[in-house]
Amino acid sequence: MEDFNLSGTIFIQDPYYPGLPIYSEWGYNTFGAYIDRKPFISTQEDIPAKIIVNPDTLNLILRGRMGYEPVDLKFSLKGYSPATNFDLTGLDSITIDLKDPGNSVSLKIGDKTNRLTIIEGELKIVRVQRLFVDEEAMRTIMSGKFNFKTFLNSEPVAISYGRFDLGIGYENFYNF
Amino acid sequence: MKYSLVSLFILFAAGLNVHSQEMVSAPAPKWTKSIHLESGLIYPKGSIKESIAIRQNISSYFVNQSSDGEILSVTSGFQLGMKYEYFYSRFNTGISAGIRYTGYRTEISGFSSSNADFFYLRYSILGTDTKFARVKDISEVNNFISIPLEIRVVPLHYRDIGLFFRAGAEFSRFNLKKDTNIDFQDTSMNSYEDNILENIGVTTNKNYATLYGTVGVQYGKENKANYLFEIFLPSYFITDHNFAISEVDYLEGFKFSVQFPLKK
Repeated sequence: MEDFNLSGTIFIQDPYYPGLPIYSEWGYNTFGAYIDRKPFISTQEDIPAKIIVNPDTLNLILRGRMGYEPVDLKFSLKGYSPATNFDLTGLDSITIDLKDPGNSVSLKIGDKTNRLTIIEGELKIVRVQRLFVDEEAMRTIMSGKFNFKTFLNSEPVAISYGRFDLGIGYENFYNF
Repeated sequence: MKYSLVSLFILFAAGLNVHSQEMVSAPAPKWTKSIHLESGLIYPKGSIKESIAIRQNISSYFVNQSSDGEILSVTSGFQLGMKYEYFYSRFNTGISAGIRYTGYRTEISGFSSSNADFFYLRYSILGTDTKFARVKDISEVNNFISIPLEIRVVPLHYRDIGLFFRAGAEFSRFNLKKDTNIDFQDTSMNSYEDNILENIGVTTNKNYATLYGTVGVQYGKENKANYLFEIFLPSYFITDHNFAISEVDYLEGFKFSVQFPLKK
């Protein structure tokens, strides 16, 4: 039985990077990054992350807000196709160069989707854990960091100090 | 720091004593002996040990957070003791030694969110598998038999009421009964309790010692039973790791005792 208490968002602000959540590996269901100087963070209302595998590409979608504006950041990583959320442990301790062929990043701000041209950047999946509660496998916790430089409206932009601590379970993992 | 506090207190008390001696005519100096029976409540102050990994235990972070979870750690102690005191009336000062029982109980309780009556305790990380247990509370009991050594100064005495200061230290190598228990949300986890306690580590120091100061009042006639009430000044544990689940910084509390004079 899924434990609803593990699905909630626990936002603990990073004292060194105001506006962003701390980097954690507890499954707090938060993420954050600066887009230039504006914090883009998860909210209490939206599921902060979805993983969609189709067919050999893993799409990690981070959904949150920048100010009052809804924002989706989507990483598409070719060559990763876990069958279930528990198979995400295969991504433990890997670093992905976002410039590698097959990988792509898109950013949706409001209703406008931008497929980003990456100048440089990487996504580090620091830790993937299978979470057992009372000896029963419940969900997978995926924690990591990201940084990259890109163009937005023809202007170079840094998306920096990105961090995520996400619980991935039945409700936010899809493979079809 | 610990020692300087007690030293300052003794100097202060001694100064008051001299002052009071100048104001009143001193009685003929003599030694008196008495038995003290004491009982008190102790409240050590501290925090949950870092090794006790509780999801959402954010007390150590001084930052903004949005979460309706709350985790509390409370330690309290009960004391019973008997002491033999030599009191020298010329200096209004007594020294005493005896035996004391102190029973401590520590409890960690709380909830991970407003719709839960439990919190998550992480007890195992093995490869990519991390294990939590849903826990209602963790409790720990320690029972010490110690030997207290104390000095007591009564700088002010008016009719049957006296103000006194006490400084003392107690030492123990006897922890009569040490016990740590977990109350699980799911009772089927009871069979894992010993394994989980071993994983989170619940060993403690065999030695126990504190250094303390108190201020109090006593009431009673000379050569009759006297009643003493005293409050602990912030006092210290000399030994570390006396508790398995909490890290204690200092202790507070109060004590009530009855002093029976002994005939020569």
